[in-house]
Amino acid sequence: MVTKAAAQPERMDMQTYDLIIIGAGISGCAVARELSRYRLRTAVLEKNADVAAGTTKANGGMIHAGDDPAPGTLKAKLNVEGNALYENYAKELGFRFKRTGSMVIGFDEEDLRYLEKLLDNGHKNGVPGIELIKDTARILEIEPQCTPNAKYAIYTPTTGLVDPFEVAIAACENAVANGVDFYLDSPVTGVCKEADGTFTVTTPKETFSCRYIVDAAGLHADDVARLAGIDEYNIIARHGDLLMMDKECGVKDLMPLYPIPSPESKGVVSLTTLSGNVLVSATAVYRDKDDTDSYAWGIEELLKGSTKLVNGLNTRKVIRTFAGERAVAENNNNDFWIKPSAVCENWFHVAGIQSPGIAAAPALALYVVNMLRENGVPLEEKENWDPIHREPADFSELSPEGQADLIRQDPAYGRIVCRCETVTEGEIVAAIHRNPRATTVEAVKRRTRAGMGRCQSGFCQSKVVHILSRELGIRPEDVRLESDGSWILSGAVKEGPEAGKGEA
Amino acid sequence: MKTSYDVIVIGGGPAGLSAALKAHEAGANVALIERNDELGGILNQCIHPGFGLKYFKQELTGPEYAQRLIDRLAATDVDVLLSSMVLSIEPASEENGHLHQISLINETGRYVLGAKAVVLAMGCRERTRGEIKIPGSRVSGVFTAGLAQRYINMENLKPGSRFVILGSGDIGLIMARRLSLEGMKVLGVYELMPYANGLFRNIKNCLEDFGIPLHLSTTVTKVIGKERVEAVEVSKVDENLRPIEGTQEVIPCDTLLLSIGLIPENEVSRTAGVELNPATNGALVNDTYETSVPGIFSCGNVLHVHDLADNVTVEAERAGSFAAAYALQGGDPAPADGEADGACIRVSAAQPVGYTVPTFIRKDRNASIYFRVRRPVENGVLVVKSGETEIFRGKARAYKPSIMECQIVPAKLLAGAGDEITVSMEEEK
Amino acid sequence: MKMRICCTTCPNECELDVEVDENKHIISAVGNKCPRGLTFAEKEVVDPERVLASTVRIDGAAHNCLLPVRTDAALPLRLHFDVMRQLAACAVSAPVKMGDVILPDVCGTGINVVASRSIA
Repeated sequence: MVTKAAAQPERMDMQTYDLIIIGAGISGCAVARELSRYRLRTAVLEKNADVAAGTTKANGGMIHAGDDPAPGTLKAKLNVEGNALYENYAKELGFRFKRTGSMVIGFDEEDLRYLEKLLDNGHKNGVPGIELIKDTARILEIEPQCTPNAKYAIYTPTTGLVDPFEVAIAACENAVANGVDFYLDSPVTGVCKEADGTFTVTTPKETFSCRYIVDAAGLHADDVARLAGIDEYNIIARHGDLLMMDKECGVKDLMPLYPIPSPESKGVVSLTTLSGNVLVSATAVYRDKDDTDSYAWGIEELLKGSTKLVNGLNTRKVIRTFAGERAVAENNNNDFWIKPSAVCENWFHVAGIQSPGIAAAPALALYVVNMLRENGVPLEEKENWDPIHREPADFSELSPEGQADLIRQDPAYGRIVCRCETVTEGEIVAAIHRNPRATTVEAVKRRTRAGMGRCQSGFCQSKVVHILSRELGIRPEDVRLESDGSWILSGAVKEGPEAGKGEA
Repeated sequence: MKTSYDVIVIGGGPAGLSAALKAHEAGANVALIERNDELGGILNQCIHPGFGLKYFKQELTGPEYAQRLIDRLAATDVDVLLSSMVLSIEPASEENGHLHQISLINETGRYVLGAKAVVLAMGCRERTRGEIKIPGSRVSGVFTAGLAQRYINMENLKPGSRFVILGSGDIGLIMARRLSLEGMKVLGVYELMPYANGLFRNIKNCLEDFGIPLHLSTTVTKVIGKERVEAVEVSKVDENLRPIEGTQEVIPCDTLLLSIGLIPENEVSRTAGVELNPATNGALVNDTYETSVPGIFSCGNVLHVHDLADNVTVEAERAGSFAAAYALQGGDPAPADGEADGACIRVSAAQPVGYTVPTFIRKDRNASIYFRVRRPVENGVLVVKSGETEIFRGKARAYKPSIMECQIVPAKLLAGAGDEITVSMEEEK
Repeated sequence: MKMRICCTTCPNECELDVEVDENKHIISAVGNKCPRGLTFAEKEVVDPERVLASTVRIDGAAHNCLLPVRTDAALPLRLHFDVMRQLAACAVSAPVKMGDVILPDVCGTGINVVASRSIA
């Protein structure tokens, strides 16, 4: 166990690594996992209590085919390459992945002209199987729940779906299993380039020394670079509202349907997630960094957008609204910003990873590692690197015999905690003790789905709090929802005889 | 362990306890399955008085109400399975020996039990922030009122210190008093509608006694905070319930409680293919509380949300005895739906009546029709019509959405009705 | 002085409009469907009473750390916070039976605080 959790005592002695990745979102985790195959002492520093807790967690989870990015951009290249790598990535890392295909829907001649351009883009980007359909019947044959008003569509059979935090967590855990150290609750507060060429990186709890830095700090990648005196680009935040519907919302197994984008927005996509909920995402408005508020305007746009494309959706069945921000590198043609710093040797930017960051991740990791190699980072393959990661048992997916077996092995699997998603105490305990540990209610939710159902943790939150408290050896009032400061409980109602006497 | 019963009751709250007791009394061999580690259901956390006035003719607290039923059940040979979660019900068929197959798990394993009749009594859950789409940040400190009630009354844990409550439903009002008594501060209760949703006694005893303001036609339009709730923004709403721009007010607080309604919890019912009523989110039932699946009955808050536990008990007792009759007599003696003997009537509701339970009644039996109005009616006259023909007319009186009503329509009035009747209300000036 | 009172004796929730004189005597009352409403209103005007329900800590129980309790009769509202303070200082041990007296004769009223349920 090398993961350092918040509760560990302060240690001011220097931790020394060859390379430090700052940021444990999908990009940081994918790069860490790719680097874990080499003899390189690697650490990842993450400011949040969990991996995937920034942009990665509030995201449509689409593995886009790659028809949208402008031809010739790095984004277009990594999107299409990443998409093709996903089958194998999912097989090795054990996360759920499904090739659903998707359609961009058009209604009139103006839309058709856009779709023709998109088809051309797709061909230039090398998107396999892309097809322009001019026949409503064919559109409805591919997705019967699409609106019958649809006249034209671009169909890309290679579009897929993942649960984005599942991918990041699997990549992280596989990296940890192969020797990478993750430091959670560790915001970087200072970076100093020493005379010998090494970097000294400070966090509130520890100080690190390393030779190379990969800056994958998402919305704050530019701010982190500025800590080291590197001022080469700006990140601006493109905010998106999202909403999740009940599993019973009139629509089942909906293929992702995109509208024609307007100049302001890529448009509202509707799809059924791997867990069976309809997800509608996302609006696009530039806002302040770290503004993950939901906006009433955005929620209305989502509902309008989804009903325009999807037939039979009961829009009253919303169970959650949320929002995320995509990191956009300013004045960069909407492209990723992945390059070595021009002013600081051994500093590598992995920034501006807006959509399709999830789709690109496996290709991005290979691209970054190649960039590191070309810039002198010594990469010698390990003999015993194990690319295989296995997700722990999902009780609700097991056969009756499998469920019975699991209960026999551990009675905790016979105790249902989350009744909406059928999550057992056994699964929650297992999630808490994975490496890195799940130490918050949201971290448990991301790994087990406890609290993701229609009651939104109304029944199970108190149980999850008590299990976290017991397993981590902390008081219930020290259990957090997510980041530092997100306390749930403030202490006992009845302190007992002592407190009462004090007042009297 | 026995593997087959006449009647299996799912849920050990007031509905399940009452149904099990009656089914047992009728001579059936009964098992009751409860997911928690003790019986009583949500009554265990409803420590306030106000229960039992109708049924026990005495004012009881929630735990007392539950304890009386639990003590009665303990004196029977009904099998009680605690900490046991039903995963699914496979309805009876020829292949499975005409028994409903109930799959459940507990710490000792996974089991399938057979039952001639099943009573669904799983209760309800609370509506959440997501369902009413409150904008703002996703910080900690937003709780449904029932979850906060569990923390405070069962687990000895405080969910915050300065509270805003959205929704004037009974649980929210009751919590306002509990929080005040336990030294936490309630800054105000905000209600979207122009009237209070809870029982009037609760407005009086839970808010007025403690000087807590109730703001009508006002709602929370934003949750503010970085990690934990730091404030909420409230706004007045217009007659279409839309926030009025310029009326926003920011209330600093650390906790937002939501008391915005309850929804029957029919996950298990769905596995059996039970047809649901979109108006109640509960099963469509006939006057024996039988669902669309023969031999599966439904009662209590899983059928439709009640405001009094006493009404739950009365309804569940009927469901329990009908389930026992079904099991012991080998089927419906006089089914109220799906049979073409010409005696079946479908009941529907017309505004301002929001819904009716049951949906199917018979011409040859008196019908107890439960209903609720969607909005307060000062001087309402209940009218039951078959087509254009009026078959029943009530006396003018006030109706409130917070109170579930019951109207008995005698068989002699139903005899001449067609196969559909409508329950509506006329408003007198 | 005119007052509106909600009788909470039974679920009918009669709303009474009462007029009281300076000695807190009811001069007139309308709206009650039965005589219990008037009795309720008389008390409500002079010294309102409510059943108080709360919890006390319980030790040694398998599933519970709190025991719900109530007063066995309506207690003057003005005494509720006094009794809450006494309950905060109180702890019991399992087993407890419904109706067991937890605090006898609170504030000299002759009213007891009793257990609302049994805990083994």
